[in-house]
Amino acid sequence: MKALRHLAAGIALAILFAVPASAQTISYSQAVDELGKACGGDIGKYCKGINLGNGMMSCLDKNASKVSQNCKATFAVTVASLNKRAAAQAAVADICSSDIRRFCKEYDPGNGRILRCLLKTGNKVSAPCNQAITDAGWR
Amino acid sequence: MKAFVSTVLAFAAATLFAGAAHAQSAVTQADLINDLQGLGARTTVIDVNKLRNDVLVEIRAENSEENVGRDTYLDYFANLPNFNVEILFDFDSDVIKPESYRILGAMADALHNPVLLGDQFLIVGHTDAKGKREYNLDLSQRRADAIRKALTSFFRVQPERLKAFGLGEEQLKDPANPDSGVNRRVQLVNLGPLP
Repeated sequence: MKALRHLAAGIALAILFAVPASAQTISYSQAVDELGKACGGDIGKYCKGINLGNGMMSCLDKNASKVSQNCKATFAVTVASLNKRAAAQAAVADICSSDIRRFCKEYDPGNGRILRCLLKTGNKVSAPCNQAITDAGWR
Repeated sequence: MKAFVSTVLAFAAATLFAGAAHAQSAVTQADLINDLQGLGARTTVIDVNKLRNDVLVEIRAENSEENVGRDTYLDYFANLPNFNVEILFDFDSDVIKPESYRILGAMADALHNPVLLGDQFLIVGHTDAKGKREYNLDLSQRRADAIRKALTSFFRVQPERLKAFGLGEEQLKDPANPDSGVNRRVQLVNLGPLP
């Protein structure tokens, strides 16, 4: 479980509650694609010269009175979905721990071996664990 | 380039992993993982600062815009699992265009997948041959740094897992057409398990 725990540790989250197993999450690529499309024009106008991950979100925030409604709405959705996906990934190790002990204990952790084992085990894996893997975007 | 080569010889890989060409609009997490996995337990240790300095010394020693001996001594990146992505920047700048956010996101998706989670990656930035070699070396470094920053900050990839290295025009993809756009690219190279 080292690899999975590693992930959990790597993602610092200010979320205090677990994401419900049924939460729909979208990929990072889909989330920021929508952000780029909705906010591209506003970024050109108000945040030129600013990079994603280096002041972009605070720039859009600062110019909230000027940026389009669509950009503002997408911005909020993007942040929420990024958090949701990260939380879902961080939760997998915990939610799947008994399935891992039951079906995958002979696998060495690392390089996704435990995940591959869970995926291979398929329907025998508990429903919450399968849902957690889906929410993490690891299928 | 002696010093550079000796750094490099230590990890001559048995298998050739070609950085496949992909239609950028369609690049997904799965494409990236497919090409970037499979290094096993081997870790490649790279001293990026030393490499950067070696390349700079080489450029100054050659003292020519002709880029003598281009693209041979740096080919070892192609021997590690790697993936070429096209990321668009504002002209002469390290600002990533919003059109390229999607591919950055796909890189983040792949880096957060358990298959690649324990591995360390080198982000290599390349320019075309327009402009001075030394200038391009600096521009590509700033661009590689911007990508690293976006991945570690916005997409929360663990900073220790990513190194950024700008190679300027020193390793053209199409040396016969040095000014061609195909030379402007970013390589994500798997260096193996995080030391």
